[in-house]
Amino acid sequence: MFQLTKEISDALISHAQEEDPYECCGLLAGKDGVATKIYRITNLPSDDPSIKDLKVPADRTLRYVMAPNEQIAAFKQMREDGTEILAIYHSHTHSPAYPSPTDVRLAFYPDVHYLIASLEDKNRPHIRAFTILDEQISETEIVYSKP
Amino acid sequence: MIKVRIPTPLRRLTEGQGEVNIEGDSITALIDTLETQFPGIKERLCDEEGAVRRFVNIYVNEEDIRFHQGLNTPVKQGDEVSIIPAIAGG
Repeated sequence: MFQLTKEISDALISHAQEEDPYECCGLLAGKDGVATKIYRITNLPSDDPSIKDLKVPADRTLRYVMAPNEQIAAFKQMREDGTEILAIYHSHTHSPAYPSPTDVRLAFYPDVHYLIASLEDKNRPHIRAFTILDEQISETEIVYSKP
Repeated sequence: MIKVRIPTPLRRLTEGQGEVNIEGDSITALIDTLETQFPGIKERLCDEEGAVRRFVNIYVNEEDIRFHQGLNTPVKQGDEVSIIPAIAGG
């Protein structure tokens, strides 16, 4: 199971809605498996050189690539806070909350959860959690805990 | 000594260490030293031709080595090198 507070869950959905129609992305950090902090990370624009390197679509409505300098800053803050990365999140604005082939191909963090917020039904945004190990997708139940 | 930050996916190769302090005057030298201490790590960072893999970002302090001299980027005492696998998807 993956523990998520309502506060973090709401913040994640808000981020997805603010970026819509672009995909949003970010990191969740915490201690003892409980995510307590959300780091919004910029989804790199289409003219960034790494977009071509990663063989992902240029269009931010179809993919996310986190700004590496913001990743460094987030990991630095986690070290200072004594927390660790628990999840990598992004949104699917027009498809279900399930890992795409690109998500699977580019999943380099086997020890963290991948959270996907779907805005496919704009009235019912929702989040699902997965681990991706050796290209195998496993869903994890999200348990909502009190903040 | 140069501090090299190891991302979580590569810590299985570094006996769990999130940072290692090693000697070297360039990124290439640091990677070779890492490989000596932690065999197998170089192939995770570099392709068959020796170039940095496309999904790996290497930063010296706050600067991406791609915008400097790539693997030949010099490093000096007190520098902090971060290895940052891309976080991306569709």
